[in-house]
Amino acid sequence: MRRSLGLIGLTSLWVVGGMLPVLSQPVRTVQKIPFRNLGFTRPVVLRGPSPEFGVSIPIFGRNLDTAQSFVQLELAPSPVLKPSSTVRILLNGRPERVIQVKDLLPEKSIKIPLRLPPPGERFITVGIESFLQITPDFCEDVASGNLFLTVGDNSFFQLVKTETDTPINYWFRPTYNQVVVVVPQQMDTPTAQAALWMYSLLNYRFRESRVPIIWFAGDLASLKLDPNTDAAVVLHQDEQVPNIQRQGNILRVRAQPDVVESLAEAQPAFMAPAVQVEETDPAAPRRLRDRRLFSELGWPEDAKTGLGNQSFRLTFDLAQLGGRPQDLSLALRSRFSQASRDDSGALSAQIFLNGTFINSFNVGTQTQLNTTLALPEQRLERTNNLDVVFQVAQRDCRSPRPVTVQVLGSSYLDWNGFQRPLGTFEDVPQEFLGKGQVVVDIANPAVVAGTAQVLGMLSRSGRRPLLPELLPVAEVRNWNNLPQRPAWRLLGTAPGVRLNSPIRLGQSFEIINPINQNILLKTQPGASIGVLQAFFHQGVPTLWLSWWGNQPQVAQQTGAVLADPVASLVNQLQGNVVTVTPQGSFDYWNLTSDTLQVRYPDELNWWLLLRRYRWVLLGLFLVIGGILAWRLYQRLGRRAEAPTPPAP
Amino acid sequence: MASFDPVSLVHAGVLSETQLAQVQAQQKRKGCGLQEALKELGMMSESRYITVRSQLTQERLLRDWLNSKKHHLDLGLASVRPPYYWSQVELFPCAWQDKQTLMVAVTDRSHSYALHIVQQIWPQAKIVPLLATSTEITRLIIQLNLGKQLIKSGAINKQQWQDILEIHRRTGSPIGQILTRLNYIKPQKFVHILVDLTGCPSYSNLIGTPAWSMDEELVRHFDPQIMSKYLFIPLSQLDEKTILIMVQDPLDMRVDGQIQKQFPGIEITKVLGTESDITYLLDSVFRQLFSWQAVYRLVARSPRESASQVFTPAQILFGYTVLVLLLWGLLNHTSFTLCVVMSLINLFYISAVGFKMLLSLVGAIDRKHHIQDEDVASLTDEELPVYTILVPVYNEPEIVSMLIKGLGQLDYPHEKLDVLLLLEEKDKVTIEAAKAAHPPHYIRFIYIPDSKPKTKPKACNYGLAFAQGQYLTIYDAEDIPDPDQLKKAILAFRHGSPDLVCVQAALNYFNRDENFLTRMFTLEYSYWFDYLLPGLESLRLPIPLGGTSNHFRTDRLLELGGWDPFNVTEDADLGIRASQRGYTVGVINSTTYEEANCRLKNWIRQRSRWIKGYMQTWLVHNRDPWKSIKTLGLGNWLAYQFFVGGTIVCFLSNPILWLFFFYAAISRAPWLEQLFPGWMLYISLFNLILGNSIGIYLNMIAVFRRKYYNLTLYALLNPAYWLLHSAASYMALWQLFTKPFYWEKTIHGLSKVSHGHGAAPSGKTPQPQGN
Repeated sequence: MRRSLGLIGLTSLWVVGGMLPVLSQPVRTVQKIPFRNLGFTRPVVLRGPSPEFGVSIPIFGRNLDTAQSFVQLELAPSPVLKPSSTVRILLNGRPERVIQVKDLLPEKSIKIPLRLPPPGERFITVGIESFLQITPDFCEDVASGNLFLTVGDNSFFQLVKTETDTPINYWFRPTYNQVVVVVPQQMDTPTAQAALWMYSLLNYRFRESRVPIIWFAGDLASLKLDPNTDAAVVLHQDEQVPNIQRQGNILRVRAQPDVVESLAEAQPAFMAPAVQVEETDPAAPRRLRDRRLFSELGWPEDAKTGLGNQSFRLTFDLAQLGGRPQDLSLALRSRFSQASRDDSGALSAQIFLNGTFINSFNVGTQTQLNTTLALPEQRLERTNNLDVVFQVAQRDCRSPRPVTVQVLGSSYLDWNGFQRPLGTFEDVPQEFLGKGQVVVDIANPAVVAGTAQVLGMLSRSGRRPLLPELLPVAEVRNWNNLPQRPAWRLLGTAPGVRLNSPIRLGQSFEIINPINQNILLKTQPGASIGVLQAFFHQGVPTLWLSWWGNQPQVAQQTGAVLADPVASLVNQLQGNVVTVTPQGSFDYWNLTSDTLQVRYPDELNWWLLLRRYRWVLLGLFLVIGGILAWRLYQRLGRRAEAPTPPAP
Repeated sequence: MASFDPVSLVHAGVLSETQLAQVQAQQKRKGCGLQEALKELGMMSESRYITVRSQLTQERLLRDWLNSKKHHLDLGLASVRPPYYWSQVELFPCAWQDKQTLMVAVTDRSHSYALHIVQQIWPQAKIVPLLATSTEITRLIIQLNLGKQLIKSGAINKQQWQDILEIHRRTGSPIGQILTRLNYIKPQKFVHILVDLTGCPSYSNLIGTPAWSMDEELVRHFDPQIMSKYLFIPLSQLDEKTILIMVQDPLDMRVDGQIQKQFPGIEITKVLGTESDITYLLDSVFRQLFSWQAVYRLVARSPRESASQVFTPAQILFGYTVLVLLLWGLLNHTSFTLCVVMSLINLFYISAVGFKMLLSLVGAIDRKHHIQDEDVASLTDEELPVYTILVPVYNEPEIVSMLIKGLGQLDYPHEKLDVLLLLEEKDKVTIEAAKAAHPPHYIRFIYIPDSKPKTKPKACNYGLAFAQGQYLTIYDAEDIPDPDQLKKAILAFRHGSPDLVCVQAALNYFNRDENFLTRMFTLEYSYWFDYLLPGLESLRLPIPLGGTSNHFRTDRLLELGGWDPFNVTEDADLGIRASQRGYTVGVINSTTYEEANCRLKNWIRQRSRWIKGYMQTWLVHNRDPWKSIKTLGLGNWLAYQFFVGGTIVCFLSNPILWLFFFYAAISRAPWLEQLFPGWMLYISLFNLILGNSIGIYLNMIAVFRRKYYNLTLYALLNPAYWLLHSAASYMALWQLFTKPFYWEKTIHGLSKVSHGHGAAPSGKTPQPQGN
């Protein structure tokens, strides 16, 4: 009841805060948003005779100063292109400028002033359509592979706004250079939980933009933030001020889990709806077959028209499916213009999963392709690319006919239940989406920071704001009988805890190759190593952040490395152990199989001895066993001969 | 009545024409009959003559008639005239064939006037002549005279003689057996009286003296089983035509029949000895043979069915290969190998327990050989055959007297009981105790020669050589069988199919309320014998027999080769062997009450022997699995694997599963999760709980048939009881390799509950309750 009232109160505050500017001082702001902040961390190479590109940014009201705002595109065409090839730039769907390639060579910055989109639309969209040619022979051009145009990653938007402040929900714009979470240096359990949740929530909200989320324990004033490009969330424990308060790029939030939860439940208006992952509790009953439409996976369903091959790429991750599916199949629904009346080979549809060729269909005489085909589950990765490539075989290379193709959003993936978790990083993030539990040593700020960052990593990669229950280490009575039965666990503790982890951290260890006994990692006196381990604890998929050595700060460093959205190491996680050295060296190890093993130099490892001398042992057994078998035969295995019976 | 034409002797090739002429001349000269002339001319003995005549005229011989089990001599008929009368007329009325026809023993001489004599006494009677020698008729007369002599000597009174005649009429048992076995008269006294009556000398006192001699070669011409059955032994051949034999009862014509079979037409001179004398002499002649047979009969006949070879080379090789593969798997694919091993153990464990559950449910609703009391009551003593009871006793002097008393309570004509007390010859204490108990004369002492292996089946095999009964059973020294058990067994055999070779009575305990062990033992036996074995029988599956109270057809038992003396659960082995030979084993609704083992150490020893025997049996009948499948059928073979093999695996694996369970529950050891997948641990736990629950359930239902409701809650302690089994099973496994044939002797007589106390609180002889 008390919680409900609190929520109502907070929601009211939220509404009020959203409708009324909290601070009404008009300030002119200039914001530069590089493309890399929008997810394009590398230059975008547009390939083919008519490649297209689009990028959009949200707007937060109609207070844009269009005279001052612009987008600057760094375009670099292929040097062999025919100079008369053209590049068309569109703004909000309208052609804004047409540029010949010769004007772009070798590389040129194109500045396009921005205009507000029609009322009702919340995104400014910039598009590039190009028509590239080298020779009059289309076929030869395509075959050469030199039809391309590069959009540089240093392209950027510059937005100049006249309105100083905006509602709270507009704070979550993915255009900052960095966001800092400022937490108190000393935290009690609710504060720690609120801090963890806040960090998790921010990672979720900024999952697409790759804005770094920084954890900082201390005072905001000591941070020198750029008021135009940096943002901060300050968790405070002051009961006199509103629960949520926005001051420009600063969001002040009271450090209570309820408050953060209310913030998580409100969907900022401008955010594209995230794919909601269904319940992933492995114990919960499931449907016989699960299905996910392309449209649910964010498929735009745009038709493409062009002269050459047309590619569609659906990028989805296992988290969107809710786990690692089994018996996976694809139902493809596509439409296209007829390429030929009699040549089915004029257009072929090829399907690839993560680069693995699945099937090909000759559809030149058809106008649609509806088919179902099985996908190899073993090729599934954490993030997957499903490519549908329509390959055009132009018969007339001088005057090729354009083809229009479209993959419908009603296409879908379906599967039959999920595979069991593996107890390794392969389970991240799809097995870490349900109701979780965080067990953390809140007395150790570095551990809390590291744990928050790992949690943030899970939220970001899992596309879900994870708000797990917090259990302080001080309340744990028995590590082998932790309370609750969550779907997953994240532990952040000192290394002395005895758990069923791949590496026991309380003592020196080495990671070796058992075949050649090469030592791949060895703990050195005086050094520290941050360690994140994946395993099953009490049957629950568990991540444990800890460290070896005497510098707990390395745990925070480990968290920071893993949570870095630019490096996005989560996509590289393999095996079941990650080690991070203070120098930032990041390694992962697979200690589940016989390939690598852990050795503890301080203790006699019978198992390793057995492994090392197993053939000797087997040989000994063969010999001794053989002798014993022979003795057994002599004693008990010979057929008893009845003596000659006495005469009757 | 047609006279005999001597010319037919010539036609039959018995005499030449010249000889016939000589005989006829002799007849004229002496004025004697044909038989006398032949005898005087030394051409043919009287016995030979009547045999030939019988063959030529199809007239029956007295001795054949007496040997036939359908007829019994009625001595009362002859009592209408004094004995000397019958002596003078050389005939003897034997029995009424029907209301008008009298069976009359006649000699060649009296053959012609026999009808006339008979009609003087029974005017309307017709006669059927039974050819006999004058000696045989004299014996009948002596038998008639025997009563007078016995009365005269004061050994019995008139009423007792009448009773004896009545028993003789009812049962057909020889008078001598009735007199001695029912303790009317001591065997020695009987011999003395017979000496007086028949003039036959008694050789009893000569045995063991320098004057004693016996032609052992001659003895070996006869089947010891036959001699033991009819109680005679040839001593020597006096001349070409005469043989000297020692008999217990010179009036028992069946002996003559047996001698004539071996030596047709030979004259028999009888000397007297007691049953013990004859048994002793037989034992002394055939001791080595019997001893050899007791140990090696099965080995010699069918070595692959004997446990004397504990493991075959193929089994050793197989075990060695499996162990090597297991070690290789553990060293290279630890988790996978452990999973496979645990899966197999789990599969066998739950299958075996589930199979027992199924059997018990079937056994609960179907009992094939359920003998009604009315059927038992309808049996007449006359139709009951001789029944042999083997009672192996070793080092149990304290319960011998109780045993003898218990056997006396059996509802069976005692003169038809053939109880063999099997005593180890070196077990002087028990032998002395047995002698001191003055057992009735239907109990014989058989001294088992001291040899290896020193097991109960060897003793039983030795005793089997002396068995006289058509049926045979075994009781332990402390057993209290239901009084009508033998009759129920006979009825079961009569109603059962021809391939029924054995019926097993239920075993239960008279001291069930003594302590935890006896209570659990009672629950176990109640479920085993009242549910499980009937279930096996209903499904026509091989039945491993229980230790005692298994009743056999003696001839089939001999055909099966008796018990395997190297197998310490010879009974279970015999049941499976019988199934492999196409025979069936049944279960009857009768109970033998035993003393439940009430001391832990003693219990473990006993149980380790049983489980070791199960291991031996399992190994023996898995020497050639393919052949076993073909002979038993796949279903029976699988049932055997789950029942016998499953029992062993259950007991061996049970503590391992418990250990895993408790260790995992208490320590939550992480390495367990690394070694075994979660599902494996859950399945193991599930199996363990389910298996033990079924065990509890089976023990709970066990109380219903016998209404032992006070034991119901003890069924909950079955898991603890199973752990005791497990301890015994590991001891058994150790002994299988170190002392495979060692017989862990169970000490009896430890119970503080007196016999009959627990089983029948009202003091009555225990009876099974319920259905």
